[in-house]
Parts: sequence; C-alpha cells; structure tokens
Amino acid sequence: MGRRRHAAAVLPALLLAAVLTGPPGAAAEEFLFHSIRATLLVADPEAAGERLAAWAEAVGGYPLLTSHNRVLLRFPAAEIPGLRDLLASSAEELAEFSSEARDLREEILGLEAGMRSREEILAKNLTYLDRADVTGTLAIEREVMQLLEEIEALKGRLRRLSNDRRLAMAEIYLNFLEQALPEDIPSSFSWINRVDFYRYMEGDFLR
Amino acid sequence: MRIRFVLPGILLLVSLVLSGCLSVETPQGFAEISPFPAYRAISPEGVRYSIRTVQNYPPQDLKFWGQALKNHLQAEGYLLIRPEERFEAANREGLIFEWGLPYRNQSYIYLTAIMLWEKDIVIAEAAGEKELYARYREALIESLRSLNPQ
Repeated sequence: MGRRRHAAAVLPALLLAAVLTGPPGAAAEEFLFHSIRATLLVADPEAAGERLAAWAEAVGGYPLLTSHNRVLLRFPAAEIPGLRDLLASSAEELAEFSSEARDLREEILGLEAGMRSREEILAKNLTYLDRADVTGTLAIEREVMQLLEEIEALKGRLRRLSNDRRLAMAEIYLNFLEQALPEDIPSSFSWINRVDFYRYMEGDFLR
Repeated sequence: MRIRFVLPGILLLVSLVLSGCLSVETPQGFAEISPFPAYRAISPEGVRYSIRTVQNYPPQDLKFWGQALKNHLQAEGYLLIRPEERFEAANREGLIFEWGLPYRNQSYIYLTAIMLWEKDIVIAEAAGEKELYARYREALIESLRSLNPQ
C-alpha cells in the first residue's frame, strides 16, 4: 500500500522530468549547439575564405567574420557533412577538423525558470503599487526597473541560445601553403610545354 | 595587265588574313603592346596578359585540352587556386584555370585560358602579384569574353 502511494507520488515527477529533458534522439538533437574548428592549407587563403562565405549564404547561414586567414560562419547544423566535403575539396590539405556538440537544454530551462520567477515577482510588485505611499512607490519602482533589466538580459541570452540551436558555428583558419617551385616536366603536346609561368615572367611575354 | 592578275590575288590574301584574325577588347586599365596574332597587354603595375593561337593538333575537343593542360601543370607542381571556370565568347566555350605560384618572395597568380576556334586553340595567359591580379581579375575575364573572330 505504502509502496503504491510512493509510486503514485514519484510518477508525476518522473513524467515532468521526461517532459523537461525530452526524449533522446531527434528532440535532443534540436537542443544541441554544434561547433566546428578546422585548419586548412590553401594556395589562396583569401579566395578560399570568399568561397566558404558564399557557401554559408547559399545554405541559409551567414559569415560572421572573414579575414585573410580566418573565417567564422553560422550555418544550419544539418549542413555539417556538406561543410566537411567542401573543406576537403577546396584545401590542399585539411590539417585539422574537429567538431563538438553542447547540450543547451539545462541552460535554456534555467533561463526560462529565471524569467518566470522574475515575471511573477514583477506582477506582485505591481499589485503593491496601489497601496504604497511615496517612499514605498519609489522603492517598488526601483525594484521594477531592476526586474525589467534582468528579464531583458535573460530574454537576450535565450534569443542567443535559440540561435545556437538553429545554427552551428564554424571557425576556420586558412593558412597559405608553403609551395615548392614547380618542376619542369615535358608534355607530349608541344604547345603545353610553352605554357609555363616562369618562362612567361622571364622572357616569353616580352619577346 | 599585270595589275589585273595581282590585285585579285592581293585582295584574296588580305581577306584570308582578315578571316583568320581574332579581336579582343583590351582589359580596362591595360595598355595594348602588340596586336594579334600575338596579342599582348600590360597594366601600369606590370600585370601581364597575352593571347596567341596554336594549331589544334592532334584535333581534339576543349574537354581534352583542358584536361591535358590541367594534368600537366598539376604534375609540375602548380596549385589550382579555385575550380576551373567556364566562359563564353562569340558563342564558343572556353576554360579558365588560375594557379598560385611563388615568385621573387611573393605569391603570384597565373591565369591560363583556352578555347577552340576553327582549327586553332586560343591560349590566353595572364600573371601578376596576387593582390594586383585580384584587382584586375574581372577586367581580364571580361576581356576573354570579348574574344571574337573578325
């Protein structure tokens, strides 16, 4: 009898926990923030950066930063395999590729709970306003302002986390590949033998 | 009497020469150094651009020659800095390859472009220091698109 009562008390708590934490699998995946870090060796870092930025825009994301040796991208997490393929195809060497995923559920639930409690206190404080004297009104007003500030800050953090749930982040370092001088290998086609950068720079063009 | 025989011959020769000529618009910011058949132009900073033709022998299509050129330069150690690009000029298709190379302690870009024209292969080359090349890249490609048989 006692055990049954205990089970009856525990069951709703377990159900609540399941609702809050969500089932494993697809739902859990929605709460993950994926971040990628990669280092590429490329012949032209600038051109590679432009290509990566264009790719992010094409898949529904955007570049956060593009410099001559670093690119920061936000893009839908479903496109991670596509990014990996792109990096492999556009780099002379993919020196590093690491990915990690952070579960945002705990943080989101904490922020939502914090917001709810502040909204409740705010509502209560507003009911006291009618009955308060001048000093009390000023004190309540100060507290209301403080609560509003805190609620706005929490809303901002929630918005950022909701963006993190939607879009993965990639930080890509682009290093110039130290290139050896090409060798002179004869071709079977005579005209191809004359297509030579060094000949072009040091004689052919001026003749 | 002699003129009657010579004049048509000269006219025929002129028309043959003209029919075998290409024309191209000089890229914006470049100065033309020499006209076809060995077209050359240069920018004030020294970015070079030239176009010549060679016989398409053994006769092959654009895909074949593009592959042959790409394979050869890659085997020599040239680095393709972006995927090959197609361009169109006078209803003909051409291929552009851009290579990254070290030269005098700087990074240079070397453009090689080919297209087929009658029994010839048109070969365009351009080269310049990376930053300078980037500044003129669009103008160079626009010029390639303006290639036209006269």
